[in-house]
Amino acid sequence: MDSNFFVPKPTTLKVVETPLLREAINRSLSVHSLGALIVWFGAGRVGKTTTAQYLIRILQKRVEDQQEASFRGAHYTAGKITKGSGNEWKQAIRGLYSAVFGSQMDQGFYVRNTPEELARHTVYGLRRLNVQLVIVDEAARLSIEAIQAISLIRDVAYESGWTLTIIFVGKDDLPRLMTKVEHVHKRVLEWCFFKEYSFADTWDLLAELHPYFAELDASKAQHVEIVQAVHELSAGLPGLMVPLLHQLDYRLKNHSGLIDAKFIRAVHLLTQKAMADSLKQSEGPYKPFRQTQKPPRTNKSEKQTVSTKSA
Amino acid sequence: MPKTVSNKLKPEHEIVLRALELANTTYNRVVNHSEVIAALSLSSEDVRRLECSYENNLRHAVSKILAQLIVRKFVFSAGTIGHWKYYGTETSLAHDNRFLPNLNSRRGFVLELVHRTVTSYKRPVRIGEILDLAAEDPATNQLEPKLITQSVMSLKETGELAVISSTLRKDNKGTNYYLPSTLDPKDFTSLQPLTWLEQVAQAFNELWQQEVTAAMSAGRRPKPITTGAVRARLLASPQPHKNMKESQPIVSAMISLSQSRNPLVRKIKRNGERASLWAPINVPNDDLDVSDAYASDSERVVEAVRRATERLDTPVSIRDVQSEIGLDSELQPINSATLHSLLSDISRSRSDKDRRKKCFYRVGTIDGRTYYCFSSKDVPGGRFYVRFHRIRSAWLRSSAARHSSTIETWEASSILIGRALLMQDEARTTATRLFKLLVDRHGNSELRTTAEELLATATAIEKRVEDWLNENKSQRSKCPPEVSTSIPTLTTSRLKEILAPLYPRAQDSNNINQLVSLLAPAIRRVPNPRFKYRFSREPKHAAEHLFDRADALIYAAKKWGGRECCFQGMIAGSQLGYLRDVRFVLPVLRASEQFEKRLIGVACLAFLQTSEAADYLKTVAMRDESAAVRQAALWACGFSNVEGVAELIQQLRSNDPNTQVRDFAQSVINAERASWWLL
Repeated sequence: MDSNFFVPKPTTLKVVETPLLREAINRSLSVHSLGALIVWFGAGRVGKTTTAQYLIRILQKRVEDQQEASFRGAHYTAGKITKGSGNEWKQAIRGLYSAVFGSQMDQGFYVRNTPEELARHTVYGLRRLNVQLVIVDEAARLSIEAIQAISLIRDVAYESGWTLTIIFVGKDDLPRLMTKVEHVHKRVLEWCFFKEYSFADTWDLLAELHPYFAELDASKAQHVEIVQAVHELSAGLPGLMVPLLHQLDYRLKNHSGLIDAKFIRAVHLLTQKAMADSLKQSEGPYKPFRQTQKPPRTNKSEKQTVSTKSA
Repeated sequence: MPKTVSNKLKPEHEIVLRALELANTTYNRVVNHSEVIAALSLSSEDVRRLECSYENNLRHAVSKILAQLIVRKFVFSAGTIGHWKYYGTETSLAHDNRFLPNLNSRRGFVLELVHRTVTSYKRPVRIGEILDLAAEDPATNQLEPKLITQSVMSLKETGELAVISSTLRKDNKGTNYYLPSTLDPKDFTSLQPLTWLEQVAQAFNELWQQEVTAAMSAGRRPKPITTGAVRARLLASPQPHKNMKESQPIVSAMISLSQSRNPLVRKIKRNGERASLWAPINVPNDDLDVSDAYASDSERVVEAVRRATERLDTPVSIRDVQSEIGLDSELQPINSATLHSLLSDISRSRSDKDRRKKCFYRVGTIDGRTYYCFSSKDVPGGRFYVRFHRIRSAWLRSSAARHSSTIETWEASSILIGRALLMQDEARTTATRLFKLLVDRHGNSELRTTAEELLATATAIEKRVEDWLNENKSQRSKCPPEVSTSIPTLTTSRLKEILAPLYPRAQDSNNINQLVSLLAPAIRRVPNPRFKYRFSREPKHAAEHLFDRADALIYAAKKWGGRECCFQGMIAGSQLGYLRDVRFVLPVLRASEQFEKRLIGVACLAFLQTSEAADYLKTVAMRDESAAVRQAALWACGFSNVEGVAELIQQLRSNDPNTQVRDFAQSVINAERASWWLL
C-alpha cells in the first residue's frame, strides 16, 4: 500500500549562508555589547526566521565549544497581545519567560507582582542561563505596550549590568510599531531589512539547495530560463523556493520528459490552480442540497406522440 | 340609774359587784364578764366561794349574777359588742365614761387586717399574706395565726370576704385569694400572674393568640404550641422566673395545667414522637394543623433532611440541609445546638420504638463533608453515590486529570516519562475503582452514566499516555520501568517550623488548624497512609491528611523565596508536576544532556530532598561543565541542608574555575539554614 504514496526521506535542515543572512547576523552582533533593541523586517518567507534560528545555533555552538565570551540566545514566536487585553506588560513578560526557560511562570507570582518585578525575575533567570540575546519572532502581533514591556526587560538587564540584546522580527507594520514610542524607538540601534533575492542570489541559493540546479550552466539560455522561472514564481523569496523544489521532486518521480521552465511553471500552476479554485468556491454562498427536485421538462413533440398513442 | 347599795345583797352577789367595780376602775370603762372574772380571779377565796355556791361553772354563774344585778339596778349594761355584753357601776365610772368602748371583735380586727393587706398588695390576698402582715403589725401581732385563719373562714362564710380566685399550688400562703366584699374586684385585679402556673398559662395563652392570628391571616388552621415555645416566651420576659433555670419545671407546669380539675390545656399525642405539643382544652384536633408542627430541633432537622433529599434526589450534606432550612424558617433550630451536632446525633440514634422513628442515615464522607440519606432503602444508593464522588474527587486532583491534555506536545525527557507513568497509573487505578463500583447494581441511572463516562475518560487518558510512551520508547528505556507513587509528606506542625521564618502568620498561629485552613488550598494535601484516629497522641497517626513536602517547599519558594529560590522553585514546580520519584530526575543530570535539562534536574532535586538526590547534587556541584549548573547545584545543596555542604562551599570557593561560582560560594560561606530561602 505504501508504494502508492510518495513519502520523502527525512532530510536534515540545511541553511545556506547567503550574504543577506551573514549581513543581518553581523550587523546585529556588532551592537550587541550595547544591549540593543534590533528590528529585522521583511516580507514573509524572505528568511528572517531561518536567520534567527541559525543565529541561535551559532551561539549555542560557541557555548558548547566553550569559546571565550560565549553566551546563549533564545528564539520564540510571540503570540498575539492586543491592545486592551488586560495587563499587556505582564503578558509580554510572561510570554518571554515561558519561552526562554521552558517553564511556566507561577500564576501566583504573576498576579502578585508588578511588571518591574516580573522583569527583574526574568533577567535573573536570563543571567543564570547566560542568555544574552533574545529573538522575538512575529513581533508585529504584539501591542506597543507589550513591546515596551520587553524593552523593560532589556532596561532592567542593563541596570543590573547584564548585556541583553533583543531582536524584534516581523513584517506588516512592525516598523511603525517600533517607532511609535520614543522610549522604544531610541533604543533600536540597528535595523535589518530583508529584501527579496535578486536573480543572482536565487541562482546561488538553488545551487546550494538542490544538486540539479548546482549543475546548471549560467551561459545556457535554457538553464537561465529555468532559474528565471523559479525566481519569478517564488518572487525572489527563499521561503517559497524551497517548497517549489520539493514539489518538483514529487513531480519528477513520475516525469521522464524534459525538465524546462514550462515544466516548472506547470508544477507551480497545479498548486496555484488548486488555490484559485478553492478561493472561488469559498467566495460563493453556501447552498444546501435540495431534497425535492422539479420534474424534468419534456418536449412538446413527445407530448403529441403520447396523446396520439392514447387516442 | 342604779341606787347605791341599800338593800342587802347576797354575799356572792357582792363579790361579783366588787369585782365589777374593780374591773371598771382598772380598765376605766365598762367591761365584759370575762374581764369581771379576771378581776374576780385576783382572790382565790372569792372564786372558791362562788364555785362552791353554784353548780354551774364560774363563767355562767358570774353571768347570771350580773344579770340579776342589772335587774336590781346595782349594775348597768352599756350594750354589746359582738357577743360580749359590757357592764358598769355608777360608783366606779364617771358619767361620760359609761358608754361602750371603741372596741373591735376579733373578726372585726381580721376584717380590718384583710383590708390593710389588700391595700398593701393592691390585689386580692391569700391567708399567708394576711398572717405575714399581722405579724408585722403591733396592733394585731398578739392574735394567734390560728385565730386569724378561723376569722377569715368565718368572714368568708358570712360573706364579708369574697373568694376571688384560687391556685392549685399548695403552700403556706394558702390557696384562695380573698377580697372584702365591700371592695370592687375590678379595682383590685392583678395585672400580673400571681403564681408560677399562672405565668406559664399566661405565656401559653399569649402564644396561642398569636398563632391563631397568624393562622387566620395565612388562611390555615392554627398549629399546636410546643413546650419549647412556651419556654422561650418565658425566658424572654424581663424578669424570668427562677424556675427557668431548669427545663423540667416548665414541663411539669404544662402537665399540671392539663391535669388539674379545670384543665386549661391538653396534650397533643403523636405517634412515634416523644416531644409534646399543646393546645387549649376547648380546641378539638380537627381545628388544629398538626402536620407541620415541630416540637423539637430534631424534628426540624429530620424534616429538613427529608425535604433536601427529596429535592436533590441524592444524599445531602450539611450545606444542603442549611439551604433547605433557609427556604423555610419553620425548620430553623431554635436551641443552641449546632446543625452539625444535631445531624451527627440524630444519625446515630437508632431503633428504640419509644424514641423517634423518623431519622436519617449517614452514608459516608466526601472530602471531609458528611452525607446523609433519609430512608433506609436509600442507604445502598447513597453509599454508591459517596464512593463514586470520592473516586471522582481523587481523579480531579490527580495529575492525569490536570496535566494530560497537553501530553502530546511534551518533549520526552526522563522527568516527563515519569510524569506520564504516574498519570498512567492514576488513570488505571481510577478505571479499576470505577469498574468495581459499577459492578455494584446500586446507584441511579444518571449517576451510573456519569460513572461510565468517567471510566471512559480515564481509560482514554490511559490509552493516550500509553501511546505517547510508546512513541518515546527510546527515552523510556533509560528510565525505571515503574514509577513510585509514595509521597514524602509533612505534618502541619513540621510545616509550621519550616515556614515560621518566612510566613508571619505561621509564627503567630497557635492553632495548627488555622494554619491548615490558610495553606490547604494552596499546598497539596494527600491522605495519610498511617492515619489511625484523630486523637492519637502520635501526630503522624492523628492527621488524616498530610502536606506534600515537595509541593509545600515549592509553594513557599515561589511565594517568599529570594531570586534563586523562586527561580528554581518555578522550574521545579513546572517540571515535576506531581512526580516525586527521584529516579526519573537523575537521568537528566547526565553530562550528555543539554544544559537546560541539567538545570531543571538540579531544581527538581532541590525540592525533592532525598538522600539519593543529595549525593547527586554534590556531584553536580563539583563536576558539571556548566558554571550555571554548578552554582544552582550548590544552592540546592544548601537549601536541602545536605550533609557536608560547608566543605563543598569551601571547595568551590577555592577551586571552581568560574568567577561567578566562586563569588557565590563566598557569599554563602556562613549562610544559616533559613537564609538559603532568601538567596
